[in-house]
Amino acid sequence: MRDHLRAVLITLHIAAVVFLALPAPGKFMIEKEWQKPDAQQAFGALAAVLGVPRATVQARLWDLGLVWQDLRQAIAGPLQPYPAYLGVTQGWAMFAQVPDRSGRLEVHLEEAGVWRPLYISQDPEHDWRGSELRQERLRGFLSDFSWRRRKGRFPGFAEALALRAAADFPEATRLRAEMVHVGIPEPAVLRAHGRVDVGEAYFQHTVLLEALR
Amino acid sequence: MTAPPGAWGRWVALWSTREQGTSLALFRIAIALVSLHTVVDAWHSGVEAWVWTDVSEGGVVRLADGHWLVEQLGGASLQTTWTLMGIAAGGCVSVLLGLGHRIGALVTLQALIAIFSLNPASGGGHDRLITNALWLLVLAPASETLSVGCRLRTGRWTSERPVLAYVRYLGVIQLVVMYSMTGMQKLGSAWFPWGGLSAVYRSLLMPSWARGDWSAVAWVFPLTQVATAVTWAWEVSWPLVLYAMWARRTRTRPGRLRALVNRLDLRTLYVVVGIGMHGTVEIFMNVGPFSIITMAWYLCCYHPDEVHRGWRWVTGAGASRPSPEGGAHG
Repeated sequence: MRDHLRAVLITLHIAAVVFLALPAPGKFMIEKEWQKPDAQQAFGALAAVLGVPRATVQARLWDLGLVWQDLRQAIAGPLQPYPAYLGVTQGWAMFAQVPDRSGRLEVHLEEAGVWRPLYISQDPEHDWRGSELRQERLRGFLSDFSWRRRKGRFPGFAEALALRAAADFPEATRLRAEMVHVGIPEPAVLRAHGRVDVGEAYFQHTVLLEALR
Repeated sequence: MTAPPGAWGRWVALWSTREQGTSLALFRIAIALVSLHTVVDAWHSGVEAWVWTDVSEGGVVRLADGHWLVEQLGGASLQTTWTLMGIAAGGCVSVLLGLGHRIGALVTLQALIAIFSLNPASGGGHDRLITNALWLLVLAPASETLSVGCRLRTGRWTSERPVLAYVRYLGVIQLVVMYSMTGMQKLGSAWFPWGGLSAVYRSLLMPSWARGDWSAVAWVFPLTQVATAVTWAWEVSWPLVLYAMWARRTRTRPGRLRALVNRLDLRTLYVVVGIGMHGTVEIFMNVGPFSIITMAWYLCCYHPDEVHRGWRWVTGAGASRPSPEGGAHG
């Protein structure tokens, strides 16, 4: 009896794990994302294989996605306590998209009216608080900013930097945190130029340090 | 046990299989070390004061305080985080030593779920692998050998007492689910020929992942294209490992495919590629403890007899003993 009960529970565990690991369509069912060149290229390739127009492939996949979305919602809902309380969380979308642009963090400090870089990602010359900023937990948090996501959180992050800078540099007056565009060039271009392209800041926040002391 | 005939009977028999506890014990030790490292490294680097601290105390976000354990400890604050980290570290030590390891695993699991819930944006796949492993360790008789518990019980550090093998099998299934699902979701064109198979090349140049400036990778672009193709194919085809494990378990049965898979040791082929891939990622990229926690799960792929043989081979401690299962390892 015990063996049978064990087998039943294991079967339920496997079913839950597999089901919860199936991709949630929410991430994929964003119309704007489907219009992006990467997605359109993929639809085009699939359409070529199937020998049907790209629009048809896209429409069928969208319909399929909606069906899957409803089905997953109906089944995953009751399962939620299992991962929530016992850690059996799934969700394995890792390196799903690797775009040709990213961003890097730069932190600048103003002292006596002059700005100087304090921290620049991957720059050993400017590595203030580097061991903390590179630690996996903070790196993971910052990686959202690299993908231009969670812009609303950037000021809070800049405030946290400023709090520490105010203590570390008693004479400093302002801190500026920014995420700077990084373009990944084609290999031939990179071989010719020797470095990745660094562009303008897309997130930026400046904090007065005086009030933090 | 005597299994009833039929598919269900075989299914019940599979999950009632017993074996020595060495593989499970090593899995227990590896998971405890990685979990402990996760907690201690966060504390040592001081990063908990950034990510698991409320914005009002110098953290980067307003913490979520909905987890029951966080509520019980008085709400989200740096003090609560430290308390949870201390509880988790204590639990890890219990799991590591194999002394009340099931309770230790449950305590660590709950503390880590609570910590990770404070700021989900600071986590990743490694956290899921840690909590999944800890739940399996709550279920697993993983301290029958190589543990203080074993020493206290038998006077020796090791024991040949058989334990249920199902947790090890579930470990393999978790690996299969993780790899195949991550492969299936790699839908960006950079993973495919029409995107130039440029995913690995681009990943190595992303400041958010790369450990340094690897611009020189442009000179070995074809190599990164091969790595991209191999990574994708290797991940999506992990379900083959389940077949390989089954083929090993039933190796005395006839069949050319079974014989071929066993001769090649397909499972070890996948593990070797994995070690190479995760090792390379660990050297060039910063993805936290993901590589080490994943490789810890690989221990589930190996029957205790194989572990013993491997140990004897490494230490040169005599010829291998025949397996009690007649070489039929699952």
